[in-house]
Amino acid sequence: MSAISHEPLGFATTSLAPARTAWPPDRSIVVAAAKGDRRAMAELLTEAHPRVLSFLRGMGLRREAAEDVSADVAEAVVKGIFRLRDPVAFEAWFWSVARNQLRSWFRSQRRARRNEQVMMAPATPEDWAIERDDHGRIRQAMAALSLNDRQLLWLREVEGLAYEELATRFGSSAATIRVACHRARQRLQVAYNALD
Amino acid sequence: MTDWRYSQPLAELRALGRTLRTETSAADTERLVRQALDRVAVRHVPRKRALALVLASLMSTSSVAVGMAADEAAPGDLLFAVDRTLEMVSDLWGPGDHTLERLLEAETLMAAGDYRNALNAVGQAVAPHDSALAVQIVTASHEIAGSPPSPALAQYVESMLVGAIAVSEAARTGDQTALKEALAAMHAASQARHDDSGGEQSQGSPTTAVASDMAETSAANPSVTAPGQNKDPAEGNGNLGQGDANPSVTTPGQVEGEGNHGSNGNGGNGNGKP
Repeated sequence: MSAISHEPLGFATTSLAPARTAWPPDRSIVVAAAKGDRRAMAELLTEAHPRVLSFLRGMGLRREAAEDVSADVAEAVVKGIFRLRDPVAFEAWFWSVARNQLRSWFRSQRRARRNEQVMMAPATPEDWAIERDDHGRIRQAMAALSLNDRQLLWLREVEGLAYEELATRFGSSAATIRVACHRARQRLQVAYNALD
Repeated sequence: MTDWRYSQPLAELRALGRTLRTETSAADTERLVRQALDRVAVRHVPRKRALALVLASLMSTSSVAVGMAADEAAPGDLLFAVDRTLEMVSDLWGPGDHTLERLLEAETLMAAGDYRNALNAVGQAVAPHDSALAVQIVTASHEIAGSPPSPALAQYVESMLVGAIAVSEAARTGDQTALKEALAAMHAASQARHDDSGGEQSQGSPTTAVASDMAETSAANPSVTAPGQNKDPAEGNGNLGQGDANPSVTTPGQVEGEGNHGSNGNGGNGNGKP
């Protein structure tokens, strides 16, 4: 049953009571969340949200857009977790949900005739200043890559997913993903060096 | 071969990831988690299941509504066939007493001036108590089909309806004497009309029609004897002639040949020769 129980979360309004779980989450937490345990789901999302938000920001979305998409990701996770057959595969499944939501967002932006690069540009002079000082160079180098390269590099280098996990969710073999990651790293290096 | 562990851009990328992750405040995370859980909790039933539930409830509701509407249907109504079908289905779990329903239908039809169907309903109503009388009445209903309504016809149908109500009431209270008297009165009224009509019944076709009409009644009630079962009045009515008090075993075939001698249960001569 996919229903989320309506019992109150129980944590105080001022702090987030669920204990910080390790990532990827424990199998028992995933199973409980899939059975509708609201507290377990809250723990999952609490741990997942900063990761998915940084992933979306790393893919070039502005903060507001990243928050919107991360909310969609959270909702998709709550709605779809009962379909997850193997709790061990939660992390790979979770990132595929995030990638799908990101792809949907880009598609909607294209429909709205808005350029992906424009969306990635800082919105205000303050943002420009922050990005220039705060990892501005790697941001620019990442912006020069394709979305697929960016996703591969982020999930592999930042989130630390195994090639096999990436392969199952990218619909390729582990060897293909390994090669694709290698080429993406090379392209990032080239783009990074070109900024000198 | 590049050792990517020491790649400057990848190291910066990981640092960017850590920085972005720490940018997220706990309050923002809590707000988002609550929103996500609340939004989904509102519509926690999967859409397909919800749709199936809605369809199933609609179908059951409409079925019940049709059944209830059909229950009030009188002969000639669109839903009358549904009503009778439901009765037949319910009879599969044990024959039910539909006398009262038939009488109500007869009253409705009578008020509407549909004497034929009213008489038919009266016949159906008395069938559980006196099958031979029921056959006579239903036969008479076929005979009056197409004939213009007249005061005499209305009086006859009304008398039969009143008699059927008396029969029903006597059967309900278990008063056997009253039941016999009511049935005898109806027999007399039926016979009087038969005599007045000048032997119209001998044409045969109404009886054939009645046979099909009464088939279901016969199936539900073993005491009913099929019309035409005993066509030769001179041979096959011995039990009637012996003063059989149960008029339910008489048939139209007997009536055709011997008048009311056997059917009224008064111990007539029983030899088929009035």
